Amino acid sequence: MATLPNPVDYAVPGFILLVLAEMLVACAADRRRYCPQDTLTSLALGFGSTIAGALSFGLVFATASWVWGYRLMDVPWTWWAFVLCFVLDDLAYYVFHRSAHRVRWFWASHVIHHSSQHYNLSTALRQTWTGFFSLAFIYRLPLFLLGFPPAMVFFCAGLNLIYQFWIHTEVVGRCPRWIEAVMNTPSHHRVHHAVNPRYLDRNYAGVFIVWDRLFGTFEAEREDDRPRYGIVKQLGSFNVLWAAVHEWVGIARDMWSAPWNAKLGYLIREPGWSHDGSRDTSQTIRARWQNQAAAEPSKEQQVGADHVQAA
Amino acid sequence: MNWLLSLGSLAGVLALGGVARLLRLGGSEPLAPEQVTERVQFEYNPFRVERMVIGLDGRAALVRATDGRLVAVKVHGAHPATRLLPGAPAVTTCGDLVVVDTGDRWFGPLRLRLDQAQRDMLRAML
Repeated sequence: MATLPNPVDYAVPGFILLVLAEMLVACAADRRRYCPQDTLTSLALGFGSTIAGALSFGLVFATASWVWGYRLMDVPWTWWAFVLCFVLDDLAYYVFHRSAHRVRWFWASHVIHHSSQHYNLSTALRQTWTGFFSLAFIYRLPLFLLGFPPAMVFFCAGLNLIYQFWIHTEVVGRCPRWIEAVMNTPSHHRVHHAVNPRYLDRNYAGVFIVWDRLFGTFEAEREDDRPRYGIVKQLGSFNVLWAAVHEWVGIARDMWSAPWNAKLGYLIREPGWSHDGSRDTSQTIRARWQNQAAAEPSKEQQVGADHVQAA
Repeated sequence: MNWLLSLGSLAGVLALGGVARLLRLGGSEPLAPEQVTERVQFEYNPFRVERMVIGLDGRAALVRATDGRLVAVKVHGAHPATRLLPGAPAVTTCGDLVVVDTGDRWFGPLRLRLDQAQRDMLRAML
């Protein structure tokens, strides 16, 4: 079976240099964009994720190859097959990423990436240790069934990961309009990492933001609602191990104490779901915020009312 | 697994951590009442602040809402982090240091350095 190099291996020196460059920019512009403890936690999680990924890759590749054995067609090793594979892999990533925010089982792995209150290039490297355990790779299985060779898919997945690195920054504001329309950009991804009610569970795209526009999950970044980063219940700890497993521990605790008919809900329902409705989900947070916004007149309306009174 | 790459990555991680310290990145201003109010209102909306006590060093604060909720705020790196406290948190006092148990061992206890007037106020809040 054909093999290809992992493009991420070649990108690592570039990652390090770009983080260094962003640190220098932060030093000149705003020192609070970086925090040494947060950066070390992110990078340690990234390093651990690489180790965990390397240890499980053999099994993932074997599974992919086994599924590929039942392929519907033979996809040739041509340039257009790579392009098609890259686009479809990005669609598979969108589906995975959306479920990673909507199903607590998958969120338990993905939350690690969101657990920093900072948004910089080191945040991009804050990756899961438990991706294999949560079976995140199942979202790529349809590609193998279609006939894309595993080596081609994993190569494209590596390129996808590399693309997503540079969008984790506050240094880049907005890109030209046509890029913002098609591609995932720092602006779009800042929205994704924000906990502002308006931005929760939006912009799941990996490379192409068109998936969000197509499936109704797109939200543009606004000047009057600056993103605040992290998770709804901030971690409040720089402990690497706790960052890696805290949601799994939370699931175990909730399932242990829940009544029998509710245990499964803590595994498969959205993060924040509780059987007695005592906790907040992204929907309840957004709904409350929308109700408040509807009850309070907007600034424009207030200005209009003042105008009428003055007249 | 490429061991050379792994070791190189590890060296890169440690080097970047060192550079971040060397450049003195991060840091935070002492907590201010407006900042604390804004933060708890954002995270625990709706939250109408009734009382608040901020430690003399500005590293931690305790806030009480009009509906009785208590929120611990601490400086966590360059940003504040908060915890909603259980009903009646355990409090221990040692001189001017008041330690409030947040019930979350990873978040840690809230350590407030308070003067006498602030300690009286804190007692009234709990």
